[in-house]
Amino acid sequence: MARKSLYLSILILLLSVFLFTYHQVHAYIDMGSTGYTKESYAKNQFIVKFKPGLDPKSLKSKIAREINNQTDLISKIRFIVKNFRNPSSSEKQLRSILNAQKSAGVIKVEDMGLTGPGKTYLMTTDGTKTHDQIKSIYDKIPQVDYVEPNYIYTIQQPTL
Amino acid sequence: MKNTLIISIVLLLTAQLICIPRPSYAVYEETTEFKPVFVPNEIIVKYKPGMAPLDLKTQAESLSTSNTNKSSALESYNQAKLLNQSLGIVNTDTPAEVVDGVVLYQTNGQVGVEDAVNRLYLDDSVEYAEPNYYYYSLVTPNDQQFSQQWDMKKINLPSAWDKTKGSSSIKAAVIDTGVMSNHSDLTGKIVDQKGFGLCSPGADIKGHGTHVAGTIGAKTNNTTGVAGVNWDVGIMDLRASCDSRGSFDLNSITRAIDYAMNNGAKVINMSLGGPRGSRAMADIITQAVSSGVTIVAASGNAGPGTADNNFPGAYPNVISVGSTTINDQISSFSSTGSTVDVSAPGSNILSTWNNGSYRSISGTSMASPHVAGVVALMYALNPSIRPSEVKSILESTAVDLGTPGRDNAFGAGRIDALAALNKVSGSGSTPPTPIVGNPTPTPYPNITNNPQPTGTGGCTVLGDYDCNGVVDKADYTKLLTDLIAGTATIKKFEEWRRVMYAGQ
Repeated sequence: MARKSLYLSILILLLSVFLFTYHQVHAYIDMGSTGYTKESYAKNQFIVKFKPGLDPKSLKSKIAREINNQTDLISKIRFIVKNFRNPSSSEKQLRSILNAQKSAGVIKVEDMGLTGPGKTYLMTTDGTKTHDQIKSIYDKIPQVDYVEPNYIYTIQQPTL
Repeated sequence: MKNTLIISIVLLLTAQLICIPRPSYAVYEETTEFKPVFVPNEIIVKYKPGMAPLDLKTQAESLSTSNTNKSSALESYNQAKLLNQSLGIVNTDTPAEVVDGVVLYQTNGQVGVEDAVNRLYLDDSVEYAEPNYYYYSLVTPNDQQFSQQWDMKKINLPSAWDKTKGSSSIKAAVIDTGVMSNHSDLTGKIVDQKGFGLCSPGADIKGHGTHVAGTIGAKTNNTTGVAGVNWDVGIMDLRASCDSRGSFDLNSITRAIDYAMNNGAKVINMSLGGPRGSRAMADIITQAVSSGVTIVAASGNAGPGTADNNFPGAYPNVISVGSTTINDQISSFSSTGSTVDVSAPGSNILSTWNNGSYRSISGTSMASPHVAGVVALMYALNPSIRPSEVKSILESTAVDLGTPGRDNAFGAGRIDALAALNKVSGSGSTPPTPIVGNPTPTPYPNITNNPQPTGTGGCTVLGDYDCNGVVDKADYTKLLTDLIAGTATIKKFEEWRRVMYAGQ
């Protein structure tokens, strides 16, 4: 009986390892030679574009600048308390973004460094949320311009 | 008796020849490329020694000339002037001298150049007269496999290369699977290499990017391999796909476009596609196009009705390219739709491959770099042309195929490199600068045969009976003599007649 349980445990363990490995290797959905039949995007990744000056990096810089502008410690504390109460303050905005990241299971944030107003980030998640769930989370944040999956495209060569 | 028969036949044929109607104007010869044969309203004339109107005028006005000679010179001058006036020549007294003793006349166009030349030729004082012919060289690169590159000839590149072979200062970005930069037909052509996403630069495990790069700008006229659309161009190898399937993620593509835009690319080729439009890609494309970069992409390989769902080709500010076959048919795989802008050869295209060899493959992936390559040629002529103008020129100069007018398969039609370049340089109907003055004057205007500067000489030219490399009336004179002597055949005469008056 004990041996049976051991075998079962090993089997479950092996199956788990296999499924985990398969999930990692097949991060991209295979589109076939021409694609188009499936929604194709990189697993556990999505792209978020923030409105100009309202991305996490810019907001952090802005908050630091604002605090530094306060001349003494009392003013700094007063400023922080005031901002904490103000729903449109940079600190509040940053906090809502960071909360969204946490809810979406974001484990890596990368500035794509694209030219133009507003920063675009490539976010990598822990895979606990679907793309629809992530989109729903970010759509609620007013600082976000848009959120979309990290779509996959393929070469246009039908014959090899 | 035999001689009489031959003479009768010759006289009969001569009579037929005289009766052949000739066009009174023939500035344009109907060739496949529709090139003008000679400069409108210009005639080149060589007079016999001392018989040029200007010489006669000088003689008549010279104090050292006897009165009798003065009178004779003046009379001859007046006759020449009258003749010229009747032919509409407006600069008898002020002609441009082409070379010593050869003048260039301008006419008012009331008499056709051909008729004027024929009339002048009959004048005793004239040694020869001829139109100011245009000469065109058809550049044929010596690359070993150029003869298999039907695509290059189909889009009229040999003629286009007369205008420009490209410029190494024009950068063409290839967002693809990488480029084998040490391929013998690509060495020295890659000016920048960068990897995006998980891709490291300088490799191509797929071959696709190497093929695309070769079409745009393989080393040309190097006796090796294939020719590129551009003989000179700087290729930016932006590797955004490095898996075995040839897939790209949005993140890598947008970063590559951004990089190309900020690092001097004038044209970006994207032989890739996917079913989803993206805000991130649309935004960066709009910025690139606004900054003067032309973006070209494949229309897709999913066949009829799918081009409008293939991005980035479906974006309105991207030139979406469909694929054509050697017979100017739409390739079976080519995606069609309202977003297809133009088409280009994409079936069985020979180009460089990632193992150092060459391979013939198909796809709208292969059509797109033909267009990107021609765009690079356009920029070589005029680097400041706007992307919207580039697109408009490509569309307006394309050869209309399929349903007349724009259609969803071919778009505006199959691109024509020469026609596009002609429009860029602002000389849509003006041919290249002619070589003024034929160094070997023909004794009779050879109106109907477009002269070829590199034409084969000797007796290999049909109708060239006297083997001087030109089919002209001198052949007829020799034929006549030989026919009477019984050493020529009527067949030879017929050959000459057919060539000499082809199309009349």
